[in-house]
Amino acid sequence: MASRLSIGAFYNPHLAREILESADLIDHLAMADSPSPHDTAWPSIRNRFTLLLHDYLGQLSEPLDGYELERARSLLDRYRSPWAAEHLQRIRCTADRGSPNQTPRLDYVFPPVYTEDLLADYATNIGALREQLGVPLAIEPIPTYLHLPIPQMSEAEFLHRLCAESGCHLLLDIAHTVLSARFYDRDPRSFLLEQPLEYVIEIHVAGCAYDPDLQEPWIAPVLPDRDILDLAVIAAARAPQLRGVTFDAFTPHLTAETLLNGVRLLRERFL
Amino acid sequence: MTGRSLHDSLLKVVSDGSLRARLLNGDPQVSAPLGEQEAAVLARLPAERVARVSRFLARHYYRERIIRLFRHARHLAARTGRDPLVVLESPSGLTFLDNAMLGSADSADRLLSLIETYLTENDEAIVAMAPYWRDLIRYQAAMVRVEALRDSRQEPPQSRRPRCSTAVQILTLEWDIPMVVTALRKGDSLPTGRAARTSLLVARSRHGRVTAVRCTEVIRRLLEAADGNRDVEELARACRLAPDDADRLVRQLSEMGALA
Repeated sequence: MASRLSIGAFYNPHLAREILESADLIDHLAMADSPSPHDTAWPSIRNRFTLLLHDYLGQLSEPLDGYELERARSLLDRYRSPWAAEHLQRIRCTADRGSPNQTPRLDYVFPPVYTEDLLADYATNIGALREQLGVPLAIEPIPTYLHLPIPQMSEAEFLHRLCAESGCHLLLDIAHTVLSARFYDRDPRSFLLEQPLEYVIEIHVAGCAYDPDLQEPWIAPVLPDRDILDLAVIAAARAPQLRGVTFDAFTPHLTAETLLNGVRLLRERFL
Repeated sequence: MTGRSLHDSLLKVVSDGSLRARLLNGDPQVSAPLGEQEAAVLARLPAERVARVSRFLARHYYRERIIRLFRHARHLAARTGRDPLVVLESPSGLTFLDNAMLGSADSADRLLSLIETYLTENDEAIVAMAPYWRDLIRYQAAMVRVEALRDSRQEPPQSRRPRCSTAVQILTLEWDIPMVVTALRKGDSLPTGRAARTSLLVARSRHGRVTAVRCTEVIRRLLEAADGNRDVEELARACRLAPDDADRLVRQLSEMGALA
């Protein structure tokens, strides 16, 4: 596994020069946004690195429309991405046929509830997108800060069934796992081991920091601590399909030092 | 009640400050917009956690818009000392976040009022240094405002009888702001600017992309004539354009969302 594992980071366009200068450290770049037409470094970036599609493709509890499918396909072709990723999230309401634009829409990841009806919808729509793309599609679960008091599956059961029923892979974010365990009042290691690690194709690793709005820790573009790195290693050892580990930091405030140190930490632990 | 219907109601609650206040204050009428069973479940959520995650989501929502749509004013922050993001940290900014309805035109206007006040209050020294400062703010505010507008017609543009979208704004400025923006993009930390009356068309596409182009007299005439009753040939005649030119312009304006 180690010989074929790709170690990378997110493409932060303001750090393009430093990323190119340290190209020997970085195997791949995850693309959260499509490159700006004003990004003069983009041609060199595209030529030098393996690029991973991690843009917002659409809300997979609904069927993607023609525009979304075409855009996803076009981004995949542009990046020549060996797999694509999308969040297991739900950020807008079911479209009202009369006024699809009027439904609330968030601009940040927000998890669904883990119910049978939504499982069926996600499995169908993820399967359709995966078929359209023709490459593995990795789904990234999001921590549930606000747990709804209704009968629902555990996150792990939902993910096991989703992967089995849709044919998708899993993108496991270790900081998400740590936060989910915290919100469910679980031990992170045992929570991690319940996840369908056999489907993991990519692991994200970064740190957590106190968030003043949530008044709790949340994911942050900082270096991971030792506990998070240890968990990532545990997950990787149980993930036979794992192909990449990514330092998960994407923000205009990120420094080159943090990005490169994050990648170095991953190389030390995984290669 | 299904998982989907419950989650739809949860999304409404975390994205709408007014609805959230009604739910958390026990308003029995809140079941109308949320659904009776859904409202009963959501009312059992810990109020503090609902409030916290809602502020968190609102901050992300508006922070992203300020970073993207006020980026040119932010590029000048090292010189002006004024970064519009600071507004979200102020007491009035926090009140705004707690009461906002994400994506609504009203909330966009309330945020813009805070931002414009912050950026322009006692700004004489900034205007002396960058005389286009206020026009630049107006331009960026228009981008935020137009992004929050929704055209009432939802189907794809009907280019046979186009009409001017409601998600559009024409700005008349005293400075050539596109020139300033180009200079900032090229890395100029403080462009000198050029005084020139400039008309800009700002529009939001069906897919949410906001763009601005110079609004020529021809574009202005075409938008005025596009009332949904004329086809492209009639628009060409009304605007004294060659049919091919009118067709091309209609397609360009439809793509950017100025015509529906």
